[in-house]
Amino acid sequence: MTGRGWTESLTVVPGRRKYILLTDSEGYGEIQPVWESLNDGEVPIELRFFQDSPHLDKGLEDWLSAQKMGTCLYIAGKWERVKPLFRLAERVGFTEEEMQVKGVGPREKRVFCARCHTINRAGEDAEIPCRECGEKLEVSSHYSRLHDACYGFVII
Amino acid sequence: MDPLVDRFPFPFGEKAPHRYSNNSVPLDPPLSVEVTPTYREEVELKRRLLREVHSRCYRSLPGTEEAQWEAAQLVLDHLAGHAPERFRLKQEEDRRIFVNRVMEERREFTFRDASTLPCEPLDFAGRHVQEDLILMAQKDGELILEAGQLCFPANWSLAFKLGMTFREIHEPIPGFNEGGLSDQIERFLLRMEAGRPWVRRNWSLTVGRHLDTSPETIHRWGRQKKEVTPENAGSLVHLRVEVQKLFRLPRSHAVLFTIHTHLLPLEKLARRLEWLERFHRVVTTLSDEILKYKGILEFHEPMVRYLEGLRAGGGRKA
Ligand SMILES: [Zn+2]
Repeated sequence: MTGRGWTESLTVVPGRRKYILLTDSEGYGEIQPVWESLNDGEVPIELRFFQDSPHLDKGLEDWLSAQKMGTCLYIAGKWERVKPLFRLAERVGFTEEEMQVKGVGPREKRVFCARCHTINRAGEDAEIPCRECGEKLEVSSHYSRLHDACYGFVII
Repeated sequence: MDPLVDRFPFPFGEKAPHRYSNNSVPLDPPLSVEVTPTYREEVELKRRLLREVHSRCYRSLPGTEEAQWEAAQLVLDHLAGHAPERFRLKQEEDRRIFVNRVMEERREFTFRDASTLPCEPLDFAGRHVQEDLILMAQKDGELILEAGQLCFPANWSLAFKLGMTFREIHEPIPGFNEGGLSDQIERFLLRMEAGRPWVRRNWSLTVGRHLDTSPETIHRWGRQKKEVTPENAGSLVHLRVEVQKLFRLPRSHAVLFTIHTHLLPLEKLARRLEWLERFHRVVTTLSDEILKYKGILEFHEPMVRYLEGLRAGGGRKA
């Protein structure tokens, strides 16, 4: 996933008024170089670790939404953790330019079965069987934010 | 003379090398619905699907109530205006009495009071017309699919596309945004005004006389594509044309699409020589990418052989 803040590798953007770095133990290797190059003692910078369910962390949401415009947000961690965090940041008003997000490790894809609407969990496979109806599905890049899933065409 | 042929909205003009374009034209007369001789049969089929697989055929997001009432009012009003001998809509302030003589039904309800209808307003109105009904809300300069009654889809899933923007909905169409076309159509839709409706035609091919070509049942209708031969293509392959009518709803500012699907088997299409020629030209000039997207690739070769046999014989069946 790229675009809208998602990135292949985090890049240091100097000159912002404040930096916030969010990570878990898997993402720390990505965040550390950013932290080291920005942490010069002059610009405000905060590093926070997050746990399994960031969307349940009301404190985190309040804290993020209290940040001023121009704050630069970096997020790195396991895919299934950074996805809800990304949506949370978007919801509280962070724009594409204000954040960089990096998913780490094996990427889990959600695939919507065109026949029975079951959401399947898949890796990088181009074709998967639906766990509910057994139909063979072609995993497409057609993505729904509502379902947070890609469309799985039934192969006839 | 064949009424099916005579009223069929053949979509290809004289110069018709296939390409996507903003092919909308002003709608005249400005009616959102049409009643054809297959009204009863199609409305019964719609109702059966709504009864058996409601969540596949009807979806709405919260906040669409106002647009739904507007759409329902417009559709029922047009129905009564179009065929007053079969449909009536009496209006006294907020009180409505709708009569459908074909289905032998009468319904009293109060405008904007959901408790007076057996289902949501858009769902109710859709049960009295042959058209599928799609509502797109306009928010922050974007159109979003927020409600729809879709019984006869050309292989797309309402359940999946609900909540998508115009751009997201059309993302899988190859070449759709070449030369900024998708942006151009989106801008056109965003600027649409109330009282000035538009109409466009969309086409595809269906094997077997199936109005319900939903992705949820493709394991049934899709497999017939492999049975097409030059001998049976005339009766099996159907040109499928969607007449899409577009209305801006003045209060909610949503856009209503009414989609009337027409099917014509190629053997009937071929009775008009110029239709045969135009259709042949279109299907022999499509890219493989479009053939695949439109689901034609599997039977393209036997179908073209069928058409060429007819052309050699001057349009008549061998
Ligand atoms: Zn399935």
